[in-house]
Amino acid sequence: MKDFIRSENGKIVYWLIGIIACIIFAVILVPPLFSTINKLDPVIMGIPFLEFMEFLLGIVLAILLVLLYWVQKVRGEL
Amino acid sequence: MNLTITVSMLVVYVAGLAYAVFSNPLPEQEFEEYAVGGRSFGWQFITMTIIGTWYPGSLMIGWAQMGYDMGVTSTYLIFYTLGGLFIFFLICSPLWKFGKVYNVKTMGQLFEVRYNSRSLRIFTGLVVLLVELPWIITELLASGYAMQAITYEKIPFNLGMAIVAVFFIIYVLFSGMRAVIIADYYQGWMFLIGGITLFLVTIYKFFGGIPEMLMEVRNLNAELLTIPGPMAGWGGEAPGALFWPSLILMGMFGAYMWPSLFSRIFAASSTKELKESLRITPFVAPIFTLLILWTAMGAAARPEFNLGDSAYAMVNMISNIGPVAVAMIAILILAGAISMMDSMLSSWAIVFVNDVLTPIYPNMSSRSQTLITRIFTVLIGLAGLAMAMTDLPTIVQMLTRVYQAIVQVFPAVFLGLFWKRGNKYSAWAGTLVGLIIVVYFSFTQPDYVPFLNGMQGGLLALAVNFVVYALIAYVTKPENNVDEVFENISKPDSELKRIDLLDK
Repeated sequence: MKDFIRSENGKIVYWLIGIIACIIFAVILVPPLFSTINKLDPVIMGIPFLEFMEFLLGIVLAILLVLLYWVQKVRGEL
Repeated sequence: MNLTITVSMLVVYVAGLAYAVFSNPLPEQEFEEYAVGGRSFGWQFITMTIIGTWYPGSLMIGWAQMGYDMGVTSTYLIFYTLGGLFIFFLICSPLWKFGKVYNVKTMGQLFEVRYNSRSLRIFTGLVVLLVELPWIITELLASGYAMQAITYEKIPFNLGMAIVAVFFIIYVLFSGMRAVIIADYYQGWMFLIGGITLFLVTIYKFFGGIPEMLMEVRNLNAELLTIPGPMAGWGGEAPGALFWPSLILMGMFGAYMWPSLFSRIFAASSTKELKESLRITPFVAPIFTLLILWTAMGAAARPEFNLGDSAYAMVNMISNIGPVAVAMIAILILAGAISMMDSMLSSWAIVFVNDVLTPIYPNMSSRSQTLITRIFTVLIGLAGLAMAMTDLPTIVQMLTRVYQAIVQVFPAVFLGLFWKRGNKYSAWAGTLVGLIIVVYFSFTQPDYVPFLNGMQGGLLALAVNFVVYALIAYVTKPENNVDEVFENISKPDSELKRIDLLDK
């Protein structure tokens, strides 16, 4: 994995992270997409749907930020 | 007995903070040391200073009120925090290199180097100063409340504010940005350990757990758990669908444009240290925010704690646990307020001296700059205190309006860092047009614009600002030295060399 990230093609990981982040922000920011999560049901792990999705999407965005740092570190770009 | 417990905890907190700050004096009285801590701080300090500055004392009052009244709408803070960190990731490296190579300490100086415009430096300095001042006032109000609460009203509101103001003015005078960053480091840990523990204990004590709390809120008022939230919170008419995204986008783009956060980037010892802070901040910051805002929503299911002002309902609920909880929530408010105010005060004085006075009096020595900055620190702190003792509009309303102006410098910063084509004309035109639109909407539709489906006027201004910047950049020539400037900041940290382009 690290060898691939270090290679010239490894830059694609930046794009992947960027695309996933854009999709998540689109779900949060674009009203028709946001309406798909702006609801109370289903309740997941005892938490209403919107609150659960906020938590989940927040965690995924945080992981993406850490991944960005890690990819730069592996590629020696820090 | 209760008073003894709370005051003892306050004394321990203040003593710890004072020890941390005063045991780290300035190595020398040069302005670079005072303004950006000698560009010497590692990732641990950068992480905690971002967390410490990010969370104002008013989070537990103003934003808690938004959580109580409007429910989940208040959680826009989580996504703007995370979005802001993505922008931080993009800009921190070139920005830090500008600082290192050209001895840049403020946004105004960045503009002078990048756009060859001293007038733009002075203008930007004045704009960011005007925009940031209200924060000092709102945070002083929060600290006055905290002092009153922790002493069971033995210390009156105004006296509490004055004590806090004198305390942080003294330590900012002592060592400038170094004191601010060390104080924030101390208070960032308080947030992490004290804050998360206190909010979890509160949730478990009153509701038995997070799911139980949210289900209780749902049973009482389900509207709190979806956007736009209860109509009552909006005065009967909710804004349109673009209000929520507009809150997030304005926060994201404006986040690191505040002088107090902007200058932190220059305080790091390398770009590596800046990016290493991203291993912790993205997890800690949103989780802490979510806990506060969910607890505030939970307080809505305990109406007995709303004693007439919903801003204090969550604090009242927590305080009901006992004197230790009273002290902890008051210290958290104080820590948030102080870490915000010290940053603002120090940045305010530094920007004023660096971007407004220094271009007018370029022969000022570095030591004179430090001395005058200290004098202005006292003057501004006392002026803020005097203003805080007068009547002001609701905290969050004020801050939302302020945000709409600060974000208008974002295109000139962001495009200036990545796009060689941008020049002084595009930066001036974009920023001015953006500010004019913001001022118009601030007087006509300050919170949101109904005919734009709830969008904030500032976001429309930002879009126009970007377009104007790009158009003017295309029809005019780039700056003569732009290739050289970009070449100088494109090297790795270890190969960067100081260039004295700015005489000051």
